Amino acid sequence: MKKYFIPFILLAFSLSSPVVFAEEPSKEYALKAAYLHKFFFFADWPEKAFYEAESTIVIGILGEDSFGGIFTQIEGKSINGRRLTIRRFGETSLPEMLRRCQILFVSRSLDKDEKSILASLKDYPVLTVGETETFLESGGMIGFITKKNSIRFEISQAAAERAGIKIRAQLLRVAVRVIEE
Amino acid sequence: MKNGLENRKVTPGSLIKWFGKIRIKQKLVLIIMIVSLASMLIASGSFLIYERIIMQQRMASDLSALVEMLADNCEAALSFNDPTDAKHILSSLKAVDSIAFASIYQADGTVFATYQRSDFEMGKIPEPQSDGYHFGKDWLVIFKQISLGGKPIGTAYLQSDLSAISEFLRQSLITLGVVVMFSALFAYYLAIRLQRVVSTPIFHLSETAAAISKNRDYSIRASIFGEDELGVLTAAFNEMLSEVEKSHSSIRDSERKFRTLVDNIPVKVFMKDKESVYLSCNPSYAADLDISPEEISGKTDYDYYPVGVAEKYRADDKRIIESGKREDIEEEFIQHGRHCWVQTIKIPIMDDANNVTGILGVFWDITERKLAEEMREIHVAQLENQSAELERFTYTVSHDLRSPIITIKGFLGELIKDAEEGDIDRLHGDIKRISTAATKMGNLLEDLLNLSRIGRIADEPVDVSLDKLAHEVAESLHGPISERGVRLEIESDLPIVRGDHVRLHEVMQNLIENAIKFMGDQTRPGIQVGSRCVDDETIIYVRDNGQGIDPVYLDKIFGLFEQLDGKTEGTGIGLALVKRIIEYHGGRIWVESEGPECGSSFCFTIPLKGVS
Repeated sequence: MKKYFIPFILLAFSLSSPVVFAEEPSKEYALKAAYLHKFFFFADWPEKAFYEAESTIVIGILGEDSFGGIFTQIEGKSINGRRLTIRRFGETSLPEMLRRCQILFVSRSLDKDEKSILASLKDYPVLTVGETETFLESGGMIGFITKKNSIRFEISQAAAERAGIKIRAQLLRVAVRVIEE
Repeated sequence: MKNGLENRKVTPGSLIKWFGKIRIKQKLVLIIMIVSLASMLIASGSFLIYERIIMQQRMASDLSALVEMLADNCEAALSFNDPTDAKHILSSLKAVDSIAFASIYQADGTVFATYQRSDFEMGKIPEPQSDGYHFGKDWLVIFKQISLGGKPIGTAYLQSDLSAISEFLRQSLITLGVVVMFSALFAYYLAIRLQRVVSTPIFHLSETAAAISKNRDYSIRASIFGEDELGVLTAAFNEMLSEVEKSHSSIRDSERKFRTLVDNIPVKVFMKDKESVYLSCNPSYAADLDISPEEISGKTDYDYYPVGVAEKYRADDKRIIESGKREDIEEEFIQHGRHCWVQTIKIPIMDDANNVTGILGVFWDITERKLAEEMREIHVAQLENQSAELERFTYTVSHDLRSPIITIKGFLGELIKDAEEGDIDRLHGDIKRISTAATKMGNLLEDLLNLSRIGRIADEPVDVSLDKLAHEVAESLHGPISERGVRLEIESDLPIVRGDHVRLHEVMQNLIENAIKFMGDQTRPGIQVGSRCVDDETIIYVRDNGQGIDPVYLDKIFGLFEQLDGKTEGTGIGLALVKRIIEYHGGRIWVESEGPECGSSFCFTIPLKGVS
């Protein structure tokens, strides 16, 4: 039996109108944005991941940016002693650019190119986060799923480990599904 | 009922009183037990308090670690809104028995997940608070903020019951109770053993003192157990005992001497208290009262003497007690029908403060002395009498002897003159006169010799029949009797007496001669010799009807040379001789006469035959 907490019930009502999603940062993407930057606290990157500047953490958004101005509120904040930076990438961005991110959100808008994009990032320490149902099967690491009006996620620990990223047990426990091998 | 309850009430005063009464041994044990129990209880109490504090600190730190872990573990659940995971994490608290309730709050204070022990029912869930713990009566509660990247995302709350502490304390208490109990038993055993070190010398000392005061035996000594204060005390006690023994023995010595003196002294000694009640007396006095010396204690003079005598004695006592002066009293009384005298000295007994506490009496029989004094007085009177008699005798003898000598001398001169003149007739007359005077002088000397012999020359006493004696005398006086024509009657049953025959003959002869001589003008002279009994005494009398004697001279006629008139012939020695003979025989002689011309009767007593 699963108990619902009031915020989630409120969220469920708000989700009933898809129009809200398109126009301004919806509650869905507000949550996804919050989750995205929190992933930093539950995963460990190898040292080589931070090659650009040691003092920044980069969250990349590939494809359609549905987050609106949400990130402007948290950009520049310090996480684990590093400054949070948001970078937006177009559909044609080079994989070399994408590889500089620590977390890369792949928008639903790129579901066709998912596989190729993820393949180009294979074995690079980039935590890939997607929102399609096939994201993990395409080689992604964390996939958001909207389950019963709430945002959950599933994790491919195997993909993360291949890339040298250690995902903490706490996060694994919260995940709906974990692919280990 | 009320009183009974009040009496049983234990007050500090009654406790102190009770403590004062119990023995030193018990006191020592009691004190040791109180001290050891108190220290054990304080130690145990401190230990329990310390243990409780330590337990609480440990519990708090354990709980802090637990809540820390919980907070860490719930970061993801809170971050990614997964209450199920939080609940799952909380459910792991089942392993910790003491945790009754736990909850996780979100940053805005809403409850995110809870845990409740199966046997526990939580009422109102508390509001989240800042970090920290605090102990309630039954609970330890702790709050811990959960943060992610320095940003608070929620709070963890734990509530633990303190039953572990109280259970631990309960078990500790039982353990300590048992330990304290055994320790107390052991302490009691040790106290019983060790108190002897102190109590044994004291007990021994007190036993010794009790034995001494009970038996009055000062030769006992207390054993010394050490060199501490008790040892010093015991040594001092023994030294005092030596002193006491010494002085006691000297007192006993002097007491014994005194006792010996008092017990053996022939005088009577007694002691009385201030109330004139006898305290003691010596055996001499006790024998006098016909009691044993012990019996007299507590008695008074009323118990032994007639009321009058007792009152006199008590009055003497009272006077002496009041004056405080010793008195010397001579007393006279009749005891066993005998006249007695005693001399009593009563001395007040003083105490150290010079108060009279009683009387010491000493008395002795002075009857003999008194009798001797009386005898002496009699003898003095007799001697005076005799000396007067002797003086008179000397005078008379010299006078009476001189007169015939003067006569003889005178007529010797005449004789010479007549012889020269040759007057023969006158010569014869002179010679006759000289011869008469010489005869008279001879008679006188004979009588005196006779008188002096009485008491000096005594023949063996023989039985003498006065009857027979009177007839012998009558025979020898036949001449004078018939010459004067006296009728002499002699009673036939005169008694037989014991004495000197010749002397008694002289008595009878003198008395009868006297009677004849002093017949006076009686025309029918008669003499009667008889006896009569008066008061078991036989009186012999010689009675005449002659000229009689003036009563004035009744006593004088037995004196030497007491001649009542100068006309009568005789030496004046006769009756004195008679008196002396009768008295020599132990009898008495006296004369009875109604007066001149009434006749007289000479009476005498003399021991009868068979009476020594």
